[in-house]
Amino acid sequence: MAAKRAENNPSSGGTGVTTPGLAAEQLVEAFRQMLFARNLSERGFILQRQGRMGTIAGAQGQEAAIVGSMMALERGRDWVVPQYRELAAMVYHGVPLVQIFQYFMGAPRASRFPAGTKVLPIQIALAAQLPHAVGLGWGLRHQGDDGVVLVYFGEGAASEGDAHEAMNLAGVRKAPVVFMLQNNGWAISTPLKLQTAAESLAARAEGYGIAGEQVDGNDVLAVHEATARAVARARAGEGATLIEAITYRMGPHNTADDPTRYVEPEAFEPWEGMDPIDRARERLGAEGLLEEGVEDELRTAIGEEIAAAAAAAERSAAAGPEGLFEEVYADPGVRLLRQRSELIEGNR
Amino acid sequence: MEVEFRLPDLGEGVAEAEIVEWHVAVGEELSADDPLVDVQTDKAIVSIPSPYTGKVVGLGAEEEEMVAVGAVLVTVETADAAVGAAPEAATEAVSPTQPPPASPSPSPAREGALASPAIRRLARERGIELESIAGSGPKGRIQESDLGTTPAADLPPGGPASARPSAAPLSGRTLPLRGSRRLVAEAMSEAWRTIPHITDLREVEVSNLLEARRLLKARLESRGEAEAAQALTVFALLATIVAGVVSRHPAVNATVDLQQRQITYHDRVDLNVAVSTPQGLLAPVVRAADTLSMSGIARELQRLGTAARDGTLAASDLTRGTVTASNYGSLGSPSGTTIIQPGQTAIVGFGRAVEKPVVRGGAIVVGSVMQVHCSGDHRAMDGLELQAFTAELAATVENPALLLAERD
Repeated sequence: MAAKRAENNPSSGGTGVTTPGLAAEQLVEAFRQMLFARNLSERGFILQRQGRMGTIAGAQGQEAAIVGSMMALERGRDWVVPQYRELAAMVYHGVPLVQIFQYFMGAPRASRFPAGTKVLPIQIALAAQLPHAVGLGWGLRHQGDDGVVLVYFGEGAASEGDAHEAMNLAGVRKAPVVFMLQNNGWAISTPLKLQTAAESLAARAEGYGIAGEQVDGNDVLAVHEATARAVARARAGEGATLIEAITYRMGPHNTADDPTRYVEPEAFEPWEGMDPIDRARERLGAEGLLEEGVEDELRTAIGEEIAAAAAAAERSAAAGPEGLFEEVYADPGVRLLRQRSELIEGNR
Repeated sequence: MEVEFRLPDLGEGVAEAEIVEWHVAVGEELSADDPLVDVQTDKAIVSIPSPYTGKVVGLGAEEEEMVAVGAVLVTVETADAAVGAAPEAATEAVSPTQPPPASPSPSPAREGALASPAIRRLARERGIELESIAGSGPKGRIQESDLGTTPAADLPPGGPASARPSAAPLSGRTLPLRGSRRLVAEAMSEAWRTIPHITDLREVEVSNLLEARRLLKARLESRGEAEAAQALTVFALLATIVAGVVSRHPAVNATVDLQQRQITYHDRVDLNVAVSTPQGLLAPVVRAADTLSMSGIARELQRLGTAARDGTLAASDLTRGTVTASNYGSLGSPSGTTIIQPGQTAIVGFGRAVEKPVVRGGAIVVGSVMQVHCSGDHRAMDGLELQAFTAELAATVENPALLLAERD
């Protein structure tokens, strides 16, 4: 499926919403964040191949969808509910980078974020984060908080029952949620044509009574604009939005996947020249915002920052077996405590 | 200092990998993150980047060799001791950003042997003290193979261990399963696991077939077409008959996909023919066999047979067809069984024709009898369809004159 340019219809709700763009320095920052997201994916794959980290899903090809949306939220005010591919958004919204690596190295405490961090932990169970996001947004309104919740998922998760229940409830309760659907064409090895018979996933919004739009997910500005509109709507009490960002997964689903076994090389052809980082670079160049040598400096600094965080995570104490019993229950209960003591004391 | 890099678990529960290609050689310098080696696991071909900068002083395995997770892949001479992964070097605990919840008690140092519950149970059943065994796994973890090396004499007589002969060390030669042997093993295992076979075995009197071949061959020779005459083997006639009969029985020329819950009936008959070669069994394909003339099939079989034995088959000759015929009788056996290839729904096997008493016109005479053995995939067909196919095939082999009916 070829990428479709977004039909950007600025909200006409009469709520004084302005169509926001990215200022020059924000555009450079978006570019830097995209480079960061890609390097983080690449470093994750290297570490996994070297046996230093567990299974990880990369963001290659989806950087514009992730960065454009995360930057449309206000840090410290709005919430990010990730799936598992949006590590850059987690870091942008306050999760220490070292904890990202600790998580993939098996440290149970790595999902305990600093106080005030408005990010939920990584969700591996498909679509389970969507009802959480709706409950979170609905709850914020009960607390008189004007925060907005942005939840990431993919077109595969969109086929889960949880996705339907979450969007339906969000419509009924006018929950301040942005459903950020990254349609990357593949649910592991299931292609889009076997995922849905519909032309548009965004069209489902109408059935839930929420706003919906399709956006070119490889254009960081388009994603940012669409998300900013959705955030403004949610903040103004006008309810949820389903954004379908049309993008393409440039690499494997994750480190355990080998797409050469199911993707024909021709499937990539419509996406040649569509790398979101290349497109952002062209945009910056056209506007004279990227001076010679700046990208190399950014890449070097990002590479060092990420490598240092990975090394720090490796130096931190590995999880002991007792870690299995922590970070889940406030009150673990007698049976778990007994199992814990049996494990630690070596009884069987 | 020299550091060893061991094969990590590259998937989720991958136990071993095959070395596909080394990107470095002994004596070469390499930098951290440079491509080191490509390996194939049961899930994927994976390129492993080097964790170290330095000089390669040893490779742990050759290309095509299998390497277990945890075995040494490469040894590197590094410039300084600080380089590298050293994941065990736990020096500082990186800030848990909030105080951890109060633990009921600090965990005491773990004592005793490191082993999984399954291994502990095995050891209990065999009466083995785990503490008396040196584990060969990571950090001395005891693995099943460590239990197997315990002398049998130490086992309790008549205990459960005697019911587990696999626990004894294997005697004889153990070699890695490689190359075409491994490919055949994998394909046949998959077929045997996933395809419910039904079979129909018939004895066919083939005097008419042999006579037809003699006539056709003599005709070619009389025209001076010696090569074509030589190519016209009995199997060439059989393959021609198979291609024609298969094209009229869709169920035996199909692909079952249980995951998608669908059966694909193929428009064409691409006939795999089993050929025994010095490198092992190969099954090159005669494309669109149902559209070829008899002499076309004969020529193609001759070309494929020669190329298979010379090892010059093109990759396109070796792709999977839609149905398979095996001429195992050419190796001497009058009778045998066959296994359907994955992705197909039938295979036909022909035994060696032998002289036997047969009843003809109420009298017992000597005939040439060949066994025709058809196996079908029960997911794609029932006995009715398999019998209809086999019956038409057997009738045509017995009376090649029935081929005339195809033009009727």
